[in-house]
Amino acid sequence: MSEPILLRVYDVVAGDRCVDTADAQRVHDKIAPLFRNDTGVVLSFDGITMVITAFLNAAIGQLYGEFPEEKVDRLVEVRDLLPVFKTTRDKSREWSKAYFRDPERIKRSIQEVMGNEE
Amino acid sequence: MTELYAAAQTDKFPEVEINLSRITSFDANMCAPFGAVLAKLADAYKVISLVDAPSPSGSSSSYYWATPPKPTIQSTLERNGFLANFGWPPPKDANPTSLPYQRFKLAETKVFDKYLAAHLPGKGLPTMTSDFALLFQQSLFEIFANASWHSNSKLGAFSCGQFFPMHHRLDISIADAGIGIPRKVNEAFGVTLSPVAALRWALREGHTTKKGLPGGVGLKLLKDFIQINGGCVQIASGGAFWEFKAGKETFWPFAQPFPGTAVNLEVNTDDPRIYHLAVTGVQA
Repeated sequence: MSEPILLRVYDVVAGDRCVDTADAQRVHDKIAPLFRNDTGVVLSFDGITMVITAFLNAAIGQLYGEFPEEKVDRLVEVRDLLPVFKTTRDKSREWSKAYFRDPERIKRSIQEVMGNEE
Repeated sequence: MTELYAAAQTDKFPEVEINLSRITSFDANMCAPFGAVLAKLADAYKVISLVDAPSPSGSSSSYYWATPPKPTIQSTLERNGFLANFGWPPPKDANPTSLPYQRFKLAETKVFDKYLAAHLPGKGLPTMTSDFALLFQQSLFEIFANASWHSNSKLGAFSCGQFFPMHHRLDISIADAGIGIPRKVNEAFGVTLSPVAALRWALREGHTTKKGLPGGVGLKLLKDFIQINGGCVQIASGGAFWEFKAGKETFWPFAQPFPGTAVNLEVNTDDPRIYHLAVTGVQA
C-alpha cells in the first residue's frame, strides 16, 4: 500500500464552506480512484468553517456503497475538522454504514408503513 | 396558500390576478411559500399579476392597485423586496427587521450562505455560544440542501423572514416548488402511502429517498432547540402538514396540496437563555 495522499477539502471546494452538492461530489471523485489502487487519503478540513451532513454523506458516505466498509474506514482519515462538527461526521458515518449494510432496510420500513395503512 | 393554488391552477384561468385588498394580515415570511406558489403557476404558462391596473401617469411604478391591500401589508411586501418581482421598483429602504424575499437556484447553496450571513444577525435570535450558533446555521443549511437535492424543483427555492420585536418572534421560511416529500417517497418506492404517512416516514432519522446515497432530514438540533425555546417548526409538503410545538408532533392532511415543500421556523425571541451544546444535545 502506498503512502496516503493529503487532500485539502478547502482546495477542492475552493472556499471554507462545505454546503454544496457539486463540491461534495468533487471530493468523492478525488477519493474514489485512489481507493481503487488501495491508496489512503488524509482528508484535511483545515480552514473549513461549515460542514453539513448532506455534504459528508455525498463526499465520504457514498464510498461505503462502492467499497467494503473496512476498506473505507482504513483508507480515510479525517483531520482538522472543527470539534463542533464531529457529531455531524459520526452521524453521517453511522447512517451511511447502516444504509449500505442493509439496503433493503429502507424498503422494509416503507412496507411496514404500508402494512399499517392497510 | 394551498387554497389559492388549487383555485388558480385550473385550466380555466390563463391569467391570474391576485387581489390582496381583503387580506387583513400577512406574515412577511409567508412570501417564501407565496413565491413558490406563484412560480409554479407562472411555470404553467399563467400570467400572474399582483396588481390590478396600470398606474396613473406620473406614478413611479408601472402598475398599482386600484383596490390596494392594507397599507401595512403593502409596505411589508414592498420593503422585503417581494413586490420588486412583480414590476414594483426595488425597495428604497430595506426593512432592518426582515430577511428579504429571495429566490435561489437550487445549486446556489453558497448564495444562501451569504444571504444568511447578511440578514440573520440582529434579528433577535437568543444568545448562543459560537459552537451552537454554527450548528443552528447548519440546520438551516440542511433544510436548504434538502430542498436543493431532493425536491427536483426546477423553479428553485424561496426564502424570507421577519423579526417581530413587539411580538418577540422571528419567523423564517424556506420553500421550494418541487414535487413534495409525499410524492417523492411514493415515486421512489413505488408505493401509495397517504401524504401524512409518507411525510411521517421521511421525517424519521436516516430515512431517505435518494438512491445510492445515504441521507435524511437532520432536524434533531432544531427540534431540541425549539422545544426549549418555546417556538415552533412546521413543514407543509404536498398533501401533508407537520408541526412540532411544545414538545409535541402533530401531522394532518391538507384538503388541497401545497405545490412543493415549505418549512417555517418560528423562534421565540423573548428568551433570555444562553444556548450551548452538551454531550446529550442542546442545553440552555
